[in-house]
Amino acid sequence: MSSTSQKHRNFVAEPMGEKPVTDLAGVGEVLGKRLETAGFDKAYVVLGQFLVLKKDKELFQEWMKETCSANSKQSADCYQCLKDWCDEFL
Amino acid sequence: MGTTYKELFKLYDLIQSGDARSVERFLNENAVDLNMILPCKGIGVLHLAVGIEPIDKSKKCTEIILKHGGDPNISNDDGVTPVHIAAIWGKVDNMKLLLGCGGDPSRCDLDGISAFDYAVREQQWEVYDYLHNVVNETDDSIGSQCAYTLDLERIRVTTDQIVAEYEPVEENKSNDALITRKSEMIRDWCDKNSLVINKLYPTILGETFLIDNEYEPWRQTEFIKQSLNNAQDNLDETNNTFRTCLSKRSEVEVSGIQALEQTLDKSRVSCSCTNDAIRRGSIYENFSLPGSPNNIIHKNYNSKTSLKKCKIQSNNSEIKKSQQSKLTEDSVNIDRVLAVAQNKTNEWLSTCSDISEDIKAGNTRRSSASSGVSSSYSGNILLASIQEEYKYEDKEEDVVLLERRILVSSIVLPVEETADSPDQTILSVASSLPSSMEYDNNTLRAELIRLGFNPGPIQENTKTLYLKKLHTLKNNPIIAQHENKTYSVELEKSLRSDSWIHNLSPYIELENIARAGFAKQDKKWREGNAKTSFTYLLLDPRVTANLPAKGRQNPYLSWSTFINSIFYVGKGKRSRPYSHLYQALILWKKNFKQSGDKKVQHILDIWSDKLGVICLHVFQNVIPAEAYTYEAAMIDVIGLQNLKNLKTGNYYGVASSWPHRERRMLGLYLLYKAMLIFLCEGERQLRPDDI
Repeated sequence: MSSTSQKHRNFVAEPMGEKPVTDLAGVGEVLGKRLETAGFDKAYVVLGQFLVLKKDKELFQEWMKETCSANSKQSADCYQCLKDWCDEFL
Repeated sequence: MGTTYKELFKLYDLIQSGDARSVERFLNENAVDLNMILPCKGIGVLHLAVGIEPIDKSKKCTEIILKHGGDPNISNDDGVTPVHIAAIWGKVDNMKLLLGCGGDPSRCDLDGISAFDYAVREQQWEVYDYLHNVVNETDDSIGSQCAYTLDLERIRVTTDQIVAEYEPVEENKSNDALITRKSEMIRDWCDKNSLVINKLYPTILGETFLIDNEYEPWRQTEFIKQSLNNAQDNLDETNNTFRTCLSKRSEVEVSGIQALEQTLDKSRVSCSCTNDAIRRGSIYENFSLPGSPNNIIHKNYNSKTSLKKCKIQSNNSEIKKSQQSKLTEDSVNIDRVLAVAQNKTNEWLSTCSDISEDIKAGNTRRSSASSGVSSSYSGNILLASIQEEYKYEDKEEDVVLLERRILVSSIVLPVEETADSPDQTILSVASSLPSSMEYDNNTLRAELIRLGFNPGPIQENTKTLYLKKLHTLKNNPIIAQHENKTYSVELEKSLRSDSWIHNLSPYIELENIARAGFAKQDKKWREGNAKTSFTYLLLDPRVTANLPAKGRQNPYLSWSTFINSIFYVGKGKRSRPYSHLYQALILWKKNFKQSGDKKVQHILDIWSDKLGVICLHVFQNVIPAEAYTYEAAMIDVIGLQNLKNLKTGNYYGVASSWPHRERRMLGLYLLYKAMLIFLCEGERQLRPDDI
């Protein structure tokens, strides 16, 4: 397992509650803005999309790319973040 | 001799220092006879190489010397061979190499001690275990008589609409001796008895018919039945050598004649209605009616075309004529064929053209409607696949297996004299898939599932994603089949692109080298030198889905399907080709559905699905060591974790000194060859006789 960022560890450490979308690993200010305009203002909305896509990495990354033009590193980080969170709390 | 002791001593020093690279260079530059015993030292260079420390250097040196022609059985003045030394010092890896190159563990030195004894004496248990495993196998060259029989059971012709089965019936015992090979027999039999096999028994596959006309349907039926009984009585007197199944056949056949002769006028008049009625009976009431002569016209062209399949050159009119004469002298023919419909709704097909012409008008349309959605039925062509069923019997072990061989080339049956029915075109259109990307959610879901992908909810904001996914899946369907198996690097590469197929020369070279090593007869190989072994692959028919039949369309796709379907690689002997299924069969007979053995479990699973295990025998007639090597190479390239094999194989000969990469390349090429064999040989499914 490759090392994870501090942001990742913070997110995975606790239930997400009402955390904003920018708390997700791989989602910075720019992507956060884009996601918000697309209606994904909270992390749990993105989680919803993640779950609707049945935790499929390929599809989720594709979706990230479409909605907020995330690059593959960003979308992979975000995917891994949500995946680990689900493994922990779902 | 060109070798001087000076050179040998130099080599000796190089080995002693453990400098494998220098040894190799030295051997490449100088032609040295390695199989000499050095004076004073009392041993050969191979003895030394096997014995030096540390082990990894020793291994390398041994490998190099063996590669350059070192003899593992060279004995010094005391009769000690390198094999003995490996045993004494507990060098298992060296032992493997030595035995792989033909070393003989049972040879004794002058004190009468073998490698076995040395391993025990020196308490080298690891070596002992290895030797034990290797030598434990019985020598194949002894007692390799055939312990089984393989008999043709039946031949089955399948088209879209019908399934017809034929069974050979031995009538004339004297004839049997002449027939040596079963496959030839079939061909012979096809040639001789084209007339008999004309009689297809149609099985009605989910057809629905509209019955518009059913006056007086049953009178004729009864009449036929009556005539049938008469006819059977006559026949019984003449043909009492028939087996039970034959009596059924003759019954049918004769009834056909009788009905034909006696009811000809009548059937002409009422043919279309009777036809409908009889059909209805068979479908709705499961009514079995043998010998309705004017029935099921759409099978008529099948009967004609089945002649073509048998490569009978005679023209139709001749056939008809001879057929009628044959019908009367019925019992004279040598090889009888019994056609039995697969499910019990059998009806007899008349081959009499008189009647068929009369009813054709009424029936052609119906028959085409019954072809269902299958698009292989279009225009004037009908595809039929032929299956042969053999019965494999091993009396000693009390094993009976049925082997179904699906011949590759599905036969194109040209359809003669059929009116082009509008139904056909409509159906073929209906069966094609929507071509545009404008799917509604349900179609999209269905398509994705068909391609092996399991989509989540398809909604407004996921639909485009799934459309894209579908697009990629369609362009590159391998990803979907790939599932969670990861193969060796070489194989993964070959699955990603097929460019390697265009340049096979490095692979061929490797195979030639490996093969040449086994061609030498002077060594004593594991399990002897008799060329009675082969390597086999067990394939899962649920994955292949009769791959050979569609194999030619996309070589790339068939390669990945083939690889995915392999679940076991093994080595077999000619004397008992199917012994690897015995274990599973014993469990099957006792009604076990579970087994601790992964391989057996898989076989049982396949049988439970009413399918037979596909057994692909490749690289026939090789010595056991060669078969083991091929087995090992193929296991390595597929990867043990993707197979049900318990352990990796052993390499022998030159291949045992190859690096892993070359071994896997050999395995890859062998698999490729196996696939080609598979594609031209067709599927052979093995199953117990009670499925």
